[in-house]
Amino acid sequence: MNRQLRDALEACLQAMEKGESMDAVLRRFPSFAAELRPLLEAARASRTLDSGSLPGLTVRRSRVRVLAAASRLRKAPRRRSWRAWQIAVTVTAVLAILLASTNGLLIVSARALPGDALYPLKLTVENTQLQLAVDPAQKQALIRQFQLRRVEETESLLSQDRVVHVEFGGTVAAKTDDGVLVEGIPVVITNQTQITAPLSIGSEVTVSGQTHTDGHVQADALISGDQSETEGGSPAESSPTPESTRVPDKWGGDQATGTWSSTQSYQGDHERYQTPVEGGTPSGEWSGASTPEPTDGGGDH
Amino acid sequence: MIDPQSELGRLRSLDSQTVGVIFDRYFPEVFRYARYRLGDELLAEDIASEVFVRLLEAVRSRRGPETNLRGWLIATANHMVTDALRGRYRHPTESISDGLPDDDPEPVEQATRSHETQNLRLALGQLTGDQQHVLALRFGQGCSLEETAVLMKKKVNAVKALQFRALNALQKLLKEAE
Repeated sequence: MNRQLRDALEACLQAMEKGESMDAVLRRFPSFAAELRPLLEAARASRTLDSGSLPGLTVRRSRVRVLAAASRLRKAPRRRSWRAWQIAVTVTAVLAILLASTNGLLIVSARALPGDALYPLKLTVENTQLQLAVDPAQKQALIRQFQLRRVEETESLLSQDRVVHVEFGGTVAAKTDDGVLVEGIPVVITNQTQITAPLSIGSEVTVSGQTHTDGHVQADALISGDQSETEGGSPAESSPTPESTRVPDKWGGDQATGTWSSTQSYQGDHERYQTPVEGGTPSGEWSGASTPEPTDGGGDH
Repeated sequence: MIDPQSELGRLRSLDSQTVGVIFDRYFPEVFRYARYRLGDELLAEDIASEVFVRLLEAVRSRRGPETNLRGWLIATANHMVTDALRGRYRHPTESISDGLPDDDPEPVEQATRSHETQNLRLALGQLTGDQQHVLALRFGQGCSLEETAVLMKKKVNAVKALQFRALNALQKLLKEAE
């Protein structure tokens, strides 16, 4: 169904590009219309971001700069060419040595994704880098870099429709019908998800869960930023040990003690963290107590 | 009009005429891409011209594109924009240029549109790099699905899925900002 929805979205986008109205294109896909409309509105808004005009001064200034660079490079051909040759030989030699040795694995592992055989090696390399970083600012920069890398890895896994356990950290950007949006990635929360602290927009969390072919991550645990940061450890290698305040079996509205205030911060009983929902009533509808599935349309991300 | 393959060959000589022709052909696209992602004309200009300087340096040292010059330029712009955005991560500037014309007849309407644009830009900034890239190509550059797949070096279905996730995330963020 998700694939059909994606295809329908693309068909609508193409038709609107040719000048058809949104209502007209939605009539072709009545069963998806409710889900497609907000996506098409977002697409229409996205088109407005380009102001269209090309400032003449910008073009002239840049042209001068680029032509000056061409002139500079032309005037020093021999020297730069020799230098480039030297660099090429050196790099090739170093690469040959590296690839011939076991260290070559480290380089190859840099592109590994969670679930790949070389992925643990990649995390070990990152951990070593962190331990070798003496300057606190440098260490923080590395932690941030690795955190972004986890997000990009998750994005890649979702693009490849792979189902793998992942961990990544980031900011809660929005609430969705069935979870939250963390760094642009839809995270689905079920009644099995362990949440160690109140969730609010802007709060830092580490998500531990599994990627799904529907394009979301189903969270096993959401660990607040403060609890997930370990001394000198990267977010990826910090093992999630939520001091489990386990979410009750169901997200029953009558059990929910927490609410989202108008300022979107969670106010509730911290001993019994419920998934924060508008007015204390869950917006996602679930069936079953063990592994609930979102109703149609609620889980397609 | 020079065909793309021979223009790459001639570019290696770095003669002003060829560089000028290539600049004129591709600069608008690269600049618009950077401006779409950044919302800042001056920074976009800086990045777009630097992309061309890097192209010349790469061609000079035989590291330049072999066949797809446009793809190389957009990919380089993407990397540079991503680096620039990381540099100002979580420090959004207050004055975001929205490129509205100065002679808008209705100040209230202009203010509303400016607010909407700002919300849109903040939401866009919260998407992943790939999600921003796909939206910039599809809705900023007007690339087709197939063109986008070539430029992103992904399969068409992967781009379709990425586009779906990007729009889904964007609309949720916009709804949140309302």
